[in-house]
Amino acid sequence: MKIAVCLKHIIGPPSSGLAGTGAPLRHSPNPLDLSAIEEALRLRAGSGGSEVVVVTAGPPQAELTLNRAIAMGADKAIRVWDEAMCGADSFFTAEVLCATLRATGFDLILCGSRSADTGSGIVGALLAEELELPLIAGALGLKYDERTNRISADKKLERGVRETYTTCLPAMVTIEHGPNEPRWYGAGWVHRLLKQKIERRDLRWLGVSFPAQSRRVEIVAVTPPRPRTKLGVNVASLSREEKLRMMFGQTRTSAGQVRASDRPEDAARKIKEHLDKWLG
Amino acid sequence: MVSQFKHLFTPLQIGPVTIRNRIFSPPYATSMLEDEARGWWDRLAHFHAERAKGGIGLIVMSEVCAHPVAVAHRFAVLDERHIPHLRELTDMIHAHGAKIFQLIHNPGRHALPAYSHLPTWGPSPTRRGALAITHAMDHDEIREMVASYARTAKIIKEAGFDGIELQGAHGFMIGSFLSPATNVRSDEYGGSLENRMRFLDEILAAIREQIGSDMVLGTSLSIDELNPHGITVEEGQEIAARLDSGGMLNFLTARVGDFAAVPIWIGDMRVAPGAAVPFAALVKRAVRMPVLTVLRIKDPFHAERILAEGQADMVGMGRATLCDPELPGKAESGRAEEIRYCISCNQGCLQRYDQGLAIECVLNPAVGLERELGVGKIAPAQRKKRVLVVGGGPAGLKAAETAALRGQQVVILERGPELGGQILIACRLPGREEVAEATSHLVGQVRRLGVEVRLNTEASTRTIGELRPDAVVIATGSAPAALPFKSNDRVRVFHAVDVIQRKVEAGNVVVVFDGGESHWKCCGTAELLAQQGKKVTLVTFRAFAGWDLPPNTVPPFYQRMAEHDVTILPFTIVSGVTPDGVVVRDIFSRRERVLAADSLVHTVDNEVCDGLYRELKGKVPELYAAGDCVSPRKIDSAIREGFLAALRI
Repeated sequence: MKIAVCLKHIIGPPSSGLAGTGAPLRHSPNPLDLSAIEEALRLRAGSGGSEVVVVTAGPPQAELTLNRAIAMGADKAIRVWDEAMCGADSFFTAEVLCATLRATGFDLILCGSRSADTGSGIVGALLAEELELPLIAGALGLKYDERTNRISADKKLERGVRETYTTCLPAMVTIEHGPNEPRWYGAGWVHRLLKQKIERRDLRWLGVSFPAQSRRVEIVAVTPPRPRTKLGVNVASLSREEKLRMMFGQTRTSAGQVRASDRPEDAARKIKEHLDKWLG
Repeated sequence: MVSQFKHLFTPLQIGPVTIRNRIFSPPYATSMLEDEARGWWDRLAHFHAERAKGGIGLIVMSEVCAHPVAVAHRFAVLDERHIPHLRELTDMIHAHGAKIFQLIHNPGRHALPAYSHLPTWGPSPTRRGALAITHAMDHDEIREMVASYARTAKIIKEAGFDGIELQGAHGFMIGSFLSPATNVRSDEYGGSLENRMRFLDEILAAIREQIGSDMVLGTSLSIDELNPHGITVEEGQEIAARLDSGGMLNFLTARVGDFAAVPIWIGDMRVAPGAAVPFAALVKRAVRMPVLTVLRIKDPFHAERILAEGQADMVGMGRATLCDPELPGKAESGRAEEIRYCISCNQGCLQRYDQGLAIECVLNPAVGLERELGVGKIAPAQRKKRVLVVGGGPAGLKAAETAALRGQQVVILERGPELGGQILIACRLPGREEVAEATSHLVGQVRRLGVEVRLNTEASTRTIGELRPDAVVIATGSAPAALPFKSNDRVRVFHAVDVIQRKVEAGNVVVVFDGGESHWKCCGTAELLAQQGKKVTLVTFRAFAGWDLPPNTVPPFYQRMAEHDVTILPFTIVSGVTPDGVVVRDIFSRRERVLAADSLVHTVDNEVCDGLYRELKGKVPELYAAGDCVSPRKIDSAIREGFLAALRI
């Protein structure tokens, strides 16, 4: 099975308070796309002979995101870019991805259900439309049945109600944050990063021409998130340490983290302690 | 249009008093009390009237304590002479439609003998977290204290206040009786919860006898002292429930922490916004009277959500309205984006208070000067001038904003690609992101006021001459001096600012040197490097790292340093760099030793960038210098000088 994952290298607000000052924006992989890679890697692990191809339409910085995907375990990475694509809208992005996916081939296409920067949430749907594929939007976890060549996906609705969908391949699935945390780096990541080259393509190679100027959109302001107090925290059930952590806005303590300066045996001990605690 | 702050601007009934909205200013001492000749309360009256004018619903004023032993800083023990002055004050607040309650403070064990020249009083003779060993009150003294509460309450009523709040939290006088950690009495005032509450019950009864049932009376309470020996959250709820059924009180302010937890209850920007709200929500379930919540609620959108979710009945926005008195009005009239948000730096308010000075605000130079420079009191320019501001840091931005508000035509020249000056560096330290709001508000203001901003523009005498300005404000800031030590093959030396801006990557074993700055530049850099997983030693010339930080910011900082395994060397300087590491010297013994390290990160002092000011002197009609280009200091000086320069144009 050939699984294509469409990635977006997002441009986030600088650091929370810097919005509006013109400070350099922060680049990072779109978190939901990392979940999509994770799902793809899990599917690959479950069925023999599968391949995970990651595709992005973005400027050279976007290779940071592709490298992350390679480090996680992707088999192949393609970046499409043309200076003319600056400020392209979701429709054009979908068109470019479509042409790329047609060229690479696929059985299943995954992507995050929306990006954390522009968040239009329509690229997956547009791909399904353009490639005439069935679409499952907002899936939490995927299962593949080799016998029937069908994919099934869980979705979460209001108040935690869950649905399970199924469809035959080829298909398009967009991914929500599910129980499967994206892995950090997969085994053998150094080797993969050294070995794998990112394929670079431009619009001419794809045979896509750039649409009218009127199709461009531009972000003019980014404002930081507003604070909120979590509802339903029952302080009575927390320990003193947990209360202090909550009030200092920390979710986990930094104690016991592995430092670059640690001796290897200390680092190994810390990792083991962490794993022991984590695995119970 | 339905207001986006539907709950925030819904009136609240507290006992007999209707408050126009749900925003209140919790009591904070200002040390602004003056002497008799200056009418004691005049400065304070203008200070609070400014907040009332800005649209706040309720002000709870501090400054008053119950008894001479309770004096700390400039707290007043009220007598009849104060009444006419306080009447003027309450009239000024009422004239703006707000209500005003008076806090009866009594620090008890935490009063300051340096001010009172008296021992501190409390339930039991312990030091336990206090500065002095407490004098245990006998029954006569308890009666005397209760009577002084009642007498103070009577004066407060005569002075025209709408209500009274008792300080019952944080291990102060009432709190120390409530808490099993500090009350170890074996008489009827100690032991069981009923006994520990007796002192408070007697005060409530005595006050009610004086003020009757038609005046609001409430108390604050530490719902959870966050102390294993103190009031637990279950007991806090129980106390609240008993007070509620006692029927003496009209409202309750849910607070958190004993005195030692002051890094939380006057939390800086590391404390989560609204950190005490879950505790208020818990109390709200246990009582019928209105529950007020406080602690780092600075954003009306956040406040609205707290009210909408029923977590509290009223939100305290103390430092938020200290920083921007017009916050409630701006939110109500749909101008929320114009709010100048408090950054909870605690430098102008808490730090100055602890130094015994009248409080100020780093971002609001008009605090304490409301009589002269309050909202609407800044004179418009007599003649519209063309004002050129060189430098887009806090001083330049504040000057541009103020000049534009006065009707001047303003142009900012900024050398770099963005506005913000050194704030752009400061906000990149761990947990210090909110610092950026100091200038992002000003950036928004200059945009709204139509100030022309020219980025990537280097100013010179020639370019300035071409612009033909009537007045020039030089706010060219400062830059780090050259590094005093050279890198060698094995040990590299870096500027702290380069590390903060991620321009360089220090090695794995780093010495951070604080040559006297002792503020966030060195402390934050050490923390940043530790977070990056490096082994950090923080060498400081001062008695402790963070010597110049607001005092209640230091313990959490040391806590984090301990978690990161950072070594802190006080009274030590770096005297050299050798291939083996960094040479440090104890400043008293003058003994030297080498710390094995691969990097030295030096917080070199800044040098002024005043070349342009010197060149322009005598060549332009009006010339001003503001901020770091006069002398490198902190943000408060930059903002104040930018403000004052623009007032003189």
